[in-house]
Amino acid sequence: MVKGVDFSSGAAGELTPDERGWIKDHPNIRLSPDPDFLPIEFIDESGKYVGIAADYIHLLEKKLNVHFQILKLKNWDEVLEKAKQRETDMWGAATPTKQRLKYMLFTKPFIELPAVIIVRNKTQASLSLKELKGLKVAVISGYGIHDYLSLKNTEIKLDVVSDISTGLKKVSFGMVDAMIANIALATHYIEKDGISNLRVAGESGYTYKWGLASRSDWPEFNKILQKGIDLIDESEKIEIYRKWVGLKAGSSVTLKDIAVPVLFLLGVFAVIAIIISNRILKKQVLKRTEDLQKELLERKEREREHLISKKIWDVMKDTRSLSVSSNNSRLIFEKILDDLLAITQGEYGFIGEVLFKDDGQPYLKTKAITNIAWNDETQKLYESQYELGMEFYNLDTLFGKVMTGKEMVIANDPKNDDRAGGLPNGHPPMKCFWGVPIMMGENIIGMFGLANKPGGYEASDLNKLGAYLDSCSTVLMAFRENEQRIQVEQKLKTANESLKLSNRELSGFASITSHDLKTPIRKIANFCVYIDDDESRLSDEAKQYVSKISLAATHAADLIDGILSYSQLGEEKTPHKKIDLNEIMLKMQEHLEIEFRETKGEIEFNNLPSVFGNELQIEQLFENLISNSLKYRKEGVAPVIEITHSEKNISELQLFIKDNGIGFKNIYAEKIFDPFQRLNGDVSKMGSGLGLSICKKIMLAHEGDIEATGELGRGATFTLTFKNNS
Amino acid sequence: MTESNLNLVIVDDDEHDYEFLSHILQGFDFPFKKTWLKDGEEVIDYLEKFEPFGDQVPCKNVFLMDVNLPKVNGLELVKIIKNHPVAKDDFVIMLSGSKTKGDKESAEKNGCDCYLVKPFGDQEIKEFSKFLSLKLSSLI
Repeated sequence: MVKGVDFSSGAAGELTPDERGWIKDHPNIRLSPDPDFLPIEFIDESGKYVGIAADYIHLLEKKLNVHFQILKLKNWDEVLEKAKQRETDMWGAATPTKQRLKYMLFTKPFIELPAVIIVRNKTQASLSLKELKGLKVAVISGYGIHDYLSLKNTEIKLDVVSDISTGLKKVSFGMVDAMIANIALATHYIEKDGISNLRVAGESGYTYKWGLASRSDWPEFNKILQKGIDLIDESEKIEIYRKWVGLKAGSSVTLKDIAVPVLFLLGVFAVIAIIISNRILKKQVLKRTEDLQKELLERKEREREHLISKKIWDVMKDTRSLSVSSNNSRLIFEKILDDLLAITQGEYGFIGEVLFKDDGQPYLKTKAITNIAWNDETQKLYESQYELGMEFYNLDTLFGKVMTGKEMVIANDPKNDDRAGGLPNGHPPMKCFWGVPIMMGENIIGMFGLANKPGGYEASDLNKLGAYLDSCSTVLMAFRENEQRIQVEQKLKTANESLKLSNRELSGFASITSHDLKTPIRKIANFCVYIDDDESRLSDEAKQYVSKISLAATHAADLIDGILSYSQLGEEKTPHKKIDLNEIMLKMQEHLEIEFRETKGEIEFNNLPSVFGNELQIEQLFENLISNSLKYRKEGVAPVIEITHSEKNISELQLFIKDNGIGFKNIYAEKIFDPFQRLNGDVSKMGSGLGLSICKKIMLAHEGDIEATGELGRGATFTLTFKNNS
Repeated sequence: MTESNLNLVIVDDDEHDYEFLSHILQGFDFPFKKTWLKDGEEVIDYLEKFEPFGDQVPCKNVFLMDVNLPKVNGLELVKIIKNHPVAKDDFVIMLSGSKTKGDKESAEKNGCDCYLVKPFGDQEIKEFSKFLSLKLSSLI
């Protein structure tokens, strides 16, 4: 698919009213051509914009009834730069690249010119790339054809030249056998330079393509341009090609040969594009409708949620039932404060928690406070701290005395009260104050402060509150406990996460180091193979050393693989599934085919049950056990591995893997599952030292266990127990 | 040697591993071309060469790609290749240095066509080159 082309623009040729409007709104569209890209586009000596692309542009102007302002810039680099700066709006002919697509949109290619093979007159009539094999061929550096030829598996000797004239002269003088270049460029320069002994001998298979480019923030314009191009008919196209392409004398490829197939293809493409665009339109309409319906559903859902939460609140209000959670704390305390003010006829007030600093001094943290902000600053303070609660540390105040004395404070003349700390400027007048501690046993856990009851407060006001005060303390305590629980949970969660992270880091570390360690070791082993290949130069002694190096490298690699799989065990979260053990055994015979063949080993099993587990781990379990049995076989005795099972009850399953190998002393029965334990010093049998440890880890992860019994010289039996296999 | 369109794009930052692979490829009895790219960025630049309007790829690219690459990891890179307009139908063989099983799954999920573990020692080298030779000749 061509990048930057939007096919969804409706039928070719018909500009929509919107598009016409767009053109009207943009009377000064600036086009900056490449000033020197003959004959595609260039500025001629009289300063006119000419070339293939220019002819197309002039046609477009007529068909779309637009006028482009031609910006004459110094060179192509400047053209690119100005487009980036949005100081020009379009280019006449260009190919999309990653860089350019960042700021320009491209139409479908409208100029397509084959790269042709140019030879001297005397050379064989018609040529293709194949016949150029072994010949010296000039190409211009940095053009598509250069990459194309160097990537294609041709054995052409490329002579990279800096420009077309040089290349053509080289062909003409016989310094190279041929040149491959775009047909228009070649014919133009052949005529211009007056080189008479050249002709076009055939096509290279590569086609140069150019489209119209326009600024990416004008997607409408790109569509308009595409429609304009689609409006240009074939006779007009042929006219343009005839004007600019074609060798006058002795050309074996005529214009018709090249232009007609190209134009035919363009026509077919246009028809296909219309069909596709209709389909895409339909799809887009469908998609849009779907999206709208989805949005509608979501909106309804939100409304419903809103309604529900309102109802819950209503219920709470009615029943005075207070459910404790940090989400509704603000609402509940606002309610309490409202109730307190209503019961005691106060004007404003607060309710809050009493907390203690490290030095044991109490401070107040409000849970709800009447908004008495008297200017912007205090309003901001109120808003910003409301959710979290405002904190007050000054104890030389009326409310401070409540906290330090743990007693009710009544001040009916605060202005002249020694205990009062005074009010900030602008604070609403305080005619009287009543502060009450909220106690839990001996401890003060909170307080409320109310102001401006008509006529002042008296100690008996406390009686009006009655049981309400108790419930205040209960609610406050409940919130405090809730918060503490949340804090502890949060701490636990953080600790848990950091533990998980460090575990992951550790196993990631193991995996990275293992991988990085493995690479040089693999190289050691593989270079040994290549040294050994070179038989003539090595003494027998040297060969032995090489083979020892190779063996050590193999062992090191096994160790690393072992560490890797051990550390990665239990990381995957694949759900357990039912695994047919008969299939596992068949798989093992395939996996370990070489080992079975080399040892002439056999495995016997019959009608094994299924287990529930992680398939990869179960495979690894049996691979380790079976290869272990094959490895520790008795010399001269073909290993036989017998796998049987017994079902104790519905959920508990035991499997027995019995071999006829070298066995082990039973006192080591537990030790063999420890990492890096080895009962056998045979260098050739060294493995990762983790095989059985991995088996143990896998069995523990499957709520099971593994045990071994053995007798030296008489084989070993491994017992797998799946305790919860249902 | 007859002309061939097969281009093996080897993506590996490790010079020695590239040497190994080249050594193995030398033994193959069918013609091919070879391109060595060292990382994902070079692959993306390489694919850009085929761009202008998209469709003119001169050869049949087959990627032989290390899993562990600098800059863009191989598992990511295979996804990029398989979504690239120029390369989405190309065959991608991934080579891993370790036998980690999870990598194979994610490689295949991301579109890798064939996942191989780099050979280790005499026996594995022989098996590896036999397999690779068969695989590649089936793609010609």
